[in-house]
Amino acid sequence: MIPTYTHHSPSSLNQFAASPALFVLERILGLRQVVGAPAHRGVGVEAGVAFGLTNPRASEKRAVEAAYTAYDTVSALSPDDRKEKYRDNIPDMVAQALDELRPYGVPTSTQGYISRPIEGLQLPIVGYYDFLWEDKGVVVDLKTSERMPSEIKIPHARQVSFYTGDNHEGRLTYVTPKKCQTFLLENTRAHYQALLKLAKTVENFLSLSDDPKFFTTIVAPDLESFYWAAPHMRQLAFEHFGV
Amino acid sequence: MSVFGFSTEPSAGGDFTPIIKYDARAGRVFRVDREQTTDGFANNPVDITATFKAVVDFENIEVGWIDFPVGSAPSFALVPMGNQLPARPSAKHKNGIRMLVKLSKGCGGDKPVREIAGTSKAFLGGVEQVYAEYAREKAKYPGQLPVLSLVSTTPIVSGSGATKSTNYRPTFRIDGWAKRPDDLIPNPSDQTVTPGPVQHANGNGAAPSTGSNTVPPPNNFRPGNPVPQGNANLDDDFG
Repeated sequence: MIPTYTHHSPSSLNQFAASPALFVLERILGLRQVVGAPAHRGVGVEAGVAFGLTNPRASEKRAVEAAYTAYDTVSALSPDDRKEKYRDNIPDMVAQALDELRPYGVPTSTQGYISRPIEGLQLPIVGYYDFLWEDKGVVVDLKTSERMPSEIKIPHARQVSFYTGDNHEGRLTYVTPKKCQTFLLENTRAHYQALLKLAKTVENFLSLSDDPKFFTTIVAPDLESFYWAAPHMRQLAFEHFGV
Repeated sequence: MSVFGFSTEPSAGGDFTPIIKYDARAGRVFRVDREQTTDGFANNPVDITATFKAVVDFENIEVGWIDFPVGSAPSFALVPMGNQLPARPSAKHKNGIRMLVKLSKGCGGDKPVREIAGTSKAFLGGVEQVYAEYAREKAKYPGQLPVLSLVSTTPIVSGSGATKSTNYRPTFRIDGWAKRPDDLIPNPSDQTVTPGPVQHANGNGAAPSTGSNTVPPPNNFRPGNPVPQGNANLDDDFG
């Protein structure tokens, strides 16, 4: 096993499924990459919505201010050309998400940490849910997107299935610059089992060697994938995977 | 302070924090030394790319907008990181950062405490990458600052044809952590903007489905529990 990989998370497991080479780069070699403006916008909107939900009398303007502060902090060093454009979406996204979620009432907790040891796995799975309404038995994860999906995306289903357990209902609220919708997670147990299967697969993979560099010899990045599109990612692919 | 409300003391000289520059087009770091010549003071850039090592004051990094006009002083509209950005002063201002560093003995010259500011995307990208590592690790090193070295620079080609250009993204590495040097004193200039609200433009073997049904806000009871009487289906009850 790799000493720096101490736990699983829904994002690490989804990353392994999406791009094993990126998993190797970030989680095994430790070369974590920074994210772009879309992810920063997600952080900002979530901060604004969390503020608006936990302060139900606060004006929408104050929630947007909280979102801007979070966005400007996490994106401050980002060279992403889209920073201003994505920043401009924040007020509409915060407003729509608050319209959608304020009827739920004040959440019991936000950004709650879950660490769950799993029988049959060497490492625990950990994660943070966005919003929990314990009295209603509902967990909601907020996702920002440019386009409204017609159904819950599979990686998101796996992620939220981990938060819900058997005691809560999972929901995904997607917000775009123009629309906001909340979807009910179906087949929660099946998605949770898929997450556990991925965790087992990752552990089988990691058991192959204690040498981080070994893993660059058994996977290769898809350079046509957007994961590797940025010039510095292309360079990293060449330096570490030789392609 | 004089009766006029401002200082009438002559400038002591050396009030300005000396600087280092990252030249993104060349991928080089320069220590800019001020030297007196027969014509007054002149800038003498000293290439410290190969030897660059510094304690970096990421705790007090400033972010916002910077304009570097040719031939005149730069214009800053910055806030400490963690605040909303100030309004963009002009279209010429670009996203930028400013921070203090203390250069190591091997590259610091006689004035090792320096300021570095930049707006190039290549520079920002390199700093962002190492800052993210700093942010992940800093809790393990309370009260300490990272010691960075410059590992390499990577050419980033943008545009095409006549607009094609190459910039070099720096790759910094955290070599260690150090107690804040006594002379590395955070000193945001008066060009730092007070943070505040700003106005910006504005089972059957099939793969499991994830869920495409949108739902309204929940009622005040947990799923699976009996629905309280009178909560719903009034039409059915009285139909």
